[in-house]
Amino acid sequence: MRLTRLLLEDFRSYASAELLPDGGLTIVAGANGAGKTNLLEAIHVAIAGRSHRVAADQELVRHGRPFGRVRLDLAGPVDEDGARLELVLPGEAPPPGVRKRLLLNGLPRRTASVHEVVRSVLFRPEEMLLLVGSPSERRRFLDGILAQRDRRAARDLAELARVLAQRNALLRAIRREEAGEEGLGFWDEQLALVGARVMAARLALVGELDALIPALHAAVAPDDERGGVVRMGYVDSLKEAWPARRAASPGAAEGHAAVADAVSGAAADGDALWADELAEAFRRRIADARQKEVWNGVTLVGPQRDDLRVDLGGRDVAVHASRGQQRTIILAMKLAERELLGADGAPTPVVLLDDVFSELDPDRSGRALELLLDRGQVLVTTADLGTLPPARRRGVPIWHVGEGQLTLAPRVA
Amino acid sequence: MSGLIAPVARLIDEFSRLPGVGRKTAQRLAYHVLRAPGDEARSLAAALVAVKEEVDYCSVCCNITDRGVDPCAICADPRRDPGRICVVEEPLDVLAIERTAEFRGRYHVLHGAISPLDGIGPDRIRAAELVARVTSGDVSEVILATNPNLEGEATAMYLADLLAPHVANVTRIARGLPVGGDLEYADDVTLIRSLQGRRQVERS
Repeated sequence: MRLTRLLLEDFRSYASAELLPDGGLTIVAGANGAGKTNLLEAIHVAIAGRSHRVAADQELVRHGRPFGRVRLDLAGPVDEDGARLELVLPGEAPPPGVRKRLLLNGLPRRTASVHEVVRSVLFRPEEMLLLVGSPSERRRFLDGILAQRDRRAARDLAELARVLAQRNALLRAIRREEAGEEGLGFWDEQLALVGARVMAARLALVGELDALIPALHAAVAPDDERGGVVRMGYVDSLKEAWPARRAASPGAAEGHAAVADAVSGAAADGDALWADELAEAFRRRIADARQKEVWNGVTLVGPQRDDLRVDLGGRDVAVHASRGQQRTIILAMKLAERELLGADGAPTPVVLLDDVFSELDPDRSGRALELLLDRGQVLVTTADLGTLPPARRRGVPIWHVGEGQLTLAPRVA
Repeated sequence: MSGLIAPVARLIDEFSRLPGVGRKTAQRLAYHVLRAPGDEARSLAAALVAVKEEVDYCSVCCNITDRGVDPCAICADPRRDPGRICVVEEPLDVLAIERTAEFRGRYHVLHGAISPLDGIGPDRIRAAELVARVTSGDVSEVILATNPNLEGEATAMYLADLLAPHVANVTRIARGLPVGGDLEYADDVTLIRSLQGRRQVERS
């Protein structure tokens, strides 16, 4: 589905705003702090279910207002009906009966159902640090894809968070000698089961990324910058408790990729079998780590400690690649995210590029935009129109943001 | 709160402690009480005090009971099977099961579920009382009817381990589709559970 209209009411800096995106490229321009990111955030919150910027929904509501509203009008292909997605967010003092609601064509829906109709890929400027930042950033990249395309994985990720919170609270209580270790049994088993499911899903995903990335990278990288093939590998925390990985991974870099290959094959044959084996490995690892976990008062085993490793020409890009090379790889990763989310008959994601071209040279930006615009919609924000590839600006609607207002500028001839 | 006289501010504070009551609702409640006739406020106050002073816990099942009525009406009822105990988290759960008129055994109310996050460990639920009941009496079955969420499952698992040496039959209530509901509107987890818990069709 294609986004035809975004309507905001008391969302962030906007009292009300309307944006009518183009079927291809739409540009939102404005000074820093004018509210460009808020527009993309609104679209992403309505589709992904929560904001990447704040923990509490009420912060999304314009200050002092009882509630905020985001509405997305979507048009289907010619033979399909459109849809209307509406998100109501309660403010600090909402009127009685107003709570967070997500409505699809007027009916309450869960975020997972919305993803069957519309998906989005958000590229934030902070993601330029994806490769050198902490592992949590890279896990977030993987989990963001899983949560949108696989409702089972979305549920498992939520359950993992809950199990970890409870288990950590219990471990802290044990460390303070307020609880006994015997209570851990149930949470150990829950961690092993849900941890194995999350890890199996991530392993399969990394296998898919590993297969997709080299071609996408080659398409956007300048010739003098390629430096070899990009490979992706999953770094788990199971150590010697999972001998299958060892067999599959003799070396470091190629090994990780080999694991991903081996695993995506296995996952295709049956996630469940794979998850069984991993759950068994988690049980062993949890047993081994017991004493250390109790001393530290925190869970030390599980997918919440894993990482995504990216190699270029056999070397870890976090250490060995230049800034320019890293940015190109990150761009390829986001392109892969779009490919994966839009695969298998799923709706082509709406791509939201938040001021990322200021971080990329026109050459790479141009190639990436070509790839993105071959199908699907792209919304770009920028403080400086000069950072956009000139060939792409012609005939494109440019919306200007300033003082909480959104206005359509005359098209550039 | 500024601009409020002390007694009103105090009442608003007290109301906003209640679960599900925010600041705005607390204010509305407080002004309602303020405008209400004097005897209405007095009877509300009396009801609030009475709930603490006239309610006791049954020494057998730990459910709430009228002061001086111990054991509670259900535990004292000779028509109810003492050999079958249904374990629930809260007194309201007893009411829910009683409404069905299907269960003719007795209850045990835990007053909570194991949740390390909330600081509720096995010692904070009425598990010891349950074990004492089971070991001293002739109990053939314990039905674990805690909520079908993570904390309820943790509690059920803990109790199952605890009771295993003492009771032949420890069962867990079934999870699945609501009666009269539509399959297509069921959430995924409920559907999965109902598939896992499927049963042979009973033919007459």
